[in-house]
Amino acid sequence: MTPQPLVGTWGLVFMALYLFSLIGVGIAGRIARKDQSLSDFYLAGRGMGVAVLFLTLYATQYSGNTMIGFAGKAYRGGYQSLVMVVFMSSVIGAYLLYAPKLFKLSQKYHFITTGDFIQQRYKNVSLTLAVVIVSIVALGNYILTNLKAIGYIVVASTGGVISFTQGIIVLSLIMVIYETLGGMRSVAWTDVIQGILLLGGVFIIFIVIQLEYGGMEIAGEMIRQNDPKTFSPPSWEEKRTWLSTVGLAFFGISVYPHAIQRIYAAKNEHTLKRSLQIMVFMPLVTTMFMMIVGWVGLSQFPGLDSNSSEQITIIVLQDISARIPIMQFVTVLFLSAAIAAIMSTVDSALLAISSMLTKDIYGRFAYYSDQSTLTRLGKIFSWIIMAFAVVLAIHLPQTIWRIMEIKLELLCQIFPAILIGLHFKHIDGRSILAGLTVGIMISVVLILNSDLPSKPWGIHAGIWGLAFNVVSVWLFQYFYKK
Amino acid sequence: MSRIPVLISLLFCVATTPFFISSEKMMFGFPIWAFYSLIMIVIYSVIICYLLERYWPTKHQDK
Repeated sequence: MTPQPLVGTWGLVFMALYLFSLIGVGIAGRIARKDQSLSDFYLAGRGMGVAVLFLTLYATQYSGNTMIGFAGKAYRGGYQSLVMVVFMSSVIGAYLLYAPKLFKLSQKYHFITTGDFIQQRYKNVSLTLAVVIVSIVALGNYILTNLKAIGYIVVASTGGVISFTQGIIVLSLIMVIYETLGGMRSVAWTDVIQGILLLGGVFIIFIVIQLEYGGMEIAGEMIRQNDPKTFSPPSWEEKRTWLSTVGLAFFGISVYPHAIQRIYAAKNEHTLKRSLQIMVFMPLVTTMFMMIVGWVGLSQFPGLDSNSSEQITIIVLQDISARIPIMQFVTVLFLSAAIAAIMSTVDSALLAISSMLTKDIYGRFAYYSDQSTLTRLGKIFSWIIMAFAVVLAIHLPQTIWRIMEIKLELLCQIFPAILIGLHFKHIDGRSILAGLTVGIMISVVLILNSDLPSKPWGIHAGIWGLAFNVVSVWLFQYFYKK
Repeated sequence: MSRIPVLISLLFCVATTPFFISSEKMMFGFPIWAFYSLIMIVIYSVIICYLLERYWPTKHQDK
C-alpha cells in the first residue's frame, strides 16, 4: 500500500522551487568569485560578515538530527533529555578557549584547513595526516547519516512517489552542483536561506504547539499523570553520563573541520566574535523548542514505541493539520526546514573533506600544483566523495553503521592537538601523536568490545579515551625531554 | 585569553548538571531539578556571551 504523502501538490511545488533555487545561488556564488585560489573557493575569500557567518555557523551546526531526532529523544528520555540543550550550548564555550587565537593565526599563516594549523604548529606530517584522517572519517559519517535521513524525509513527504534512492541521488546532485559552482561562497549563501528556513520552521512549530495544546504547564501536568517516571531526577550514574554527554559536544563538535573553516572565513575578529555571541543563544530557541515539541507530543500521544517516537514531530504536525486544515503549511515549512538543515550540514562537510583531500593530502605530496589546479582538483574530489557517499548511504550494511556511529568519540581525540597547540608552546608533535593514538585505541576498544561496558562508570568511551590521550601527551613529553 | 574566563565558563558548564537538586515538584511545566538546569543553561549562555565581549578585545572596539 502506498503511504499517504505528508504534503499536498502545492507543498511539493514549494519544496521543489526551494531546492532548485539553490542552484541559482550556486551560480551567483560562481559569478561573485574573485580568483581561482583555494582561499576564495574554500573560505569565500575570508570575507564573511556577521549575518552570513552567523547563519552559516547556525545552519551547519544544526543538522537534520535537530529537527527530527531531538524531539524523539525528548519523547523517550523525558526531562533528562534537557542535556541536549547544554550539549549544543557547550560548543560555543569550547570556542571561547581557542577561536580567538586560532583566528589570529589563520590570518597570519593563511590556513585553509585544520591540518594547516597542525602542520604549521607541530611540523609533524604523521600527526597532520592522523588528524586529517580522523576528521575525514568523522565527517564521512556525518554525510552518510544525513543522506540517509534525507532519503526517509523525501519518501515520507511524497508518499513514496519519489523513492529513497531517487531522493538521495537528486538532492545530492543539487548539493554537489551548487558546491562546485561557487565553493564556500555558494555554501554560505545557501546556508543563509537554510538557516532562516530552519529558524522560521522551529519558531512557527513552537508557537503553533503553544496555541493548539496549551503550552508546557498543561503538557507537564499530563506527563506527570501518564508517565511519572519522566519526572524523576537523574541518578548519580545518569548525572555522570549527563556531564560526559556535554563533554562529547564540548570536545568533539567544537572541532568539526567545517566549523573551524568558518572561523578562518570570518572577515575579521569582530564579525567572528559577534557571530559566536549570537550562536550561544541558539540552543535555547532551536534545541529547546524541539525538545518542547517532544514533551508536548509525549503528553498528547503517550505509549509510542521507539521507532514511532522518532516520528513524533510529524505525528504532532499531522494532528494539527487534521484539526486546522490551513495549518498544513506548517508541515510543508517544517519538512523544508528539515531538508534545509540536512543539506546545509552535508554541503559543509563535503566542502571540508574536499579541502582536506586537496590541501592536506594531495597538496602536501604533489610535486608542483598551482592554486587553480588544486581548486579544480578539489571540485573533482567533491563529485567523487559525493558519489561514493550516495552509494554507501543506499547500500551500507547495518553492521558497518555501528562503526560509523562513533564520530564524536573519535573527534574528541583531536581536541588536545588544537588546544595544547595553541596554549602550550613546549609540547612536541610526537607527544600529541602518541596521545592521539592512545585515545583512539581506548575509545575504539571500549566501543567495539562487547565484553566491556561502552560507558564505564556512566562515562562515554570517547571521554575515557580523551583522558588517557591527555595523560599520555604529558607522559610522552616528559620521557622525550629526558 | 587568561585562565579566569576559561575557569568561569567551565564552572558554569558543569553547574548545568542538576547535581544537588532532586525535587520533583512542578514549576512552569518542569520538575524543579529540570527547571534549575534550564535556568543554568540560560545563565551559562549569558556568561559565555559576556566573557567573549570582555576578554576578546577586537580592533573594531579599539577604534
